[in-house]
Amino acid sequence: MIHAEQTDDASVDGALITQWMAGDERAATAIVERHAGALARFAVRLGVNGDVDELVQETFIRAFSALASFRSDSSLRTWLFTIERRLVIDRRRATARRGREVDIDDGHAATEYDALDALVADEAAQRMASAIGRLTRMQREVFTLRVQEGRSYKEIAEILESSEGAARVHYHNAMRVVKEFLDD
Amino acid sequence: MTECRTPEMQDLLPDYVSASLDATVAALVEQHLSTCDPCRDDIAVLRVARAVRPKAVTLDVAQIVANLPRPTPVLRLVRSSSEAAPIVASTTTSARSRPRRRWSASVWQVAAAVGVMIVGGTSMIVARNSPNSLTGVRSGDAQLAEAAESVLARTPGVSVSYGDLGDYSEAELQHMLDRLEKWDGTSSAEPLPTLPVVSTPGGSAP
Repeated sequence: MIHAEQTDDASVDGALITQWMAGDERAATAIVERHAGALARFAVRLGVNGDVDELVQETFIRAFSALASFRSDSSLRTWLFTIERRLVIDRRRATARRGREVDIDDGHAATEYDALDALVADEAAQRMASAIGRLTRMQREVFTLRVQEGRSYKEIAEILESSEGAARVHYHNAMRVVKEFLDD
Repeated sequence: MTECRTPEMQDLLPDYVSASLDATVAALVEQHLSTCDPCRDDIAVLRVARAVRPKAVTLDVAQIVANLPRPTPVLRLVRSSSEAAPIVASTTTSARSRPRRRWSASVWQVAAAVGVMIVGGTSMIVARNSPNSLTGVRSGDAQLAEAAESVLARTPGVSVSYGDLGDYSEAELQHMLDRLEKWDGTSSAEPLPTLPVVSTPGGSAP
């Protein structure tokens, strides 16, 4: 299986990174334009609703601060997703420590995903959003990355700091939960 | 049939929906879909799932870029951060090796003092056995003497000869030996004993 689109993305990103490292600041604009939208979508799907732009901004700042250490054996977008997800987790932990949120467990998945209900257009999409909201946090992240962002299991494992096998199991479990919800 | 019998194909369905498969693999998936009802159901679910897109968030790309750190140019003439660690390590190492260096210096100072005493003593013996000149004994001094002579020979009316230890009295020689014995070798600024320069009328240096 060849992911031609992703291979092209990697080579373009690699060239842009090289240009930026050489001092061409226009390359930074190109990189942000290429990935900001996907990061915003991923943030919303992770349950972030209020300060998505701030989260995306912070993700890029973290990424560009460490861009010299980025190794092109993974795609830049996968790496950015990894950074963003860690930021989301850090924020949730900080929020939990402040007592605004009791705990981040799978039982809150539906509540976190409720934000999507108002954002989707038609009834089928709304039902799908509700179905996704039934998933556990890990299932939802895997499902989002696999289906909606088109990431491979290998990339998902990298983003979630897990294994390909675990990602595959979470995906199939997520599919089962979603289909069962839609069949009801 | 409720389950797909080809899980490898089922795994490819999200890639098929996102159109990220190459043509050959995509054709294989389509062939599989023509015979697999569960996977056709999955495809329908996946297409709806991909359609669930959150409302676009307005992002100010220019603002994001403006807040990014600037690329750091690589300056070859400046130590990089990766070289900082060895500097610290070498500082530590040099601090540790300092006592050894002091020890080495003191050894050389003692050796120098002993050497001077040996040379001085030898000079005295030679002087007593050969009262004429020292120039044949110390080749280094001979070269120095030749150089000095070549300069001084240009001075008209004055020729130079070098005195020897025979020009010293016993008391003066004893005083020199005492000074050598007391010298600890630490003061490099201390002037070395000089031989008297005696002007002799007429003639030229050989």
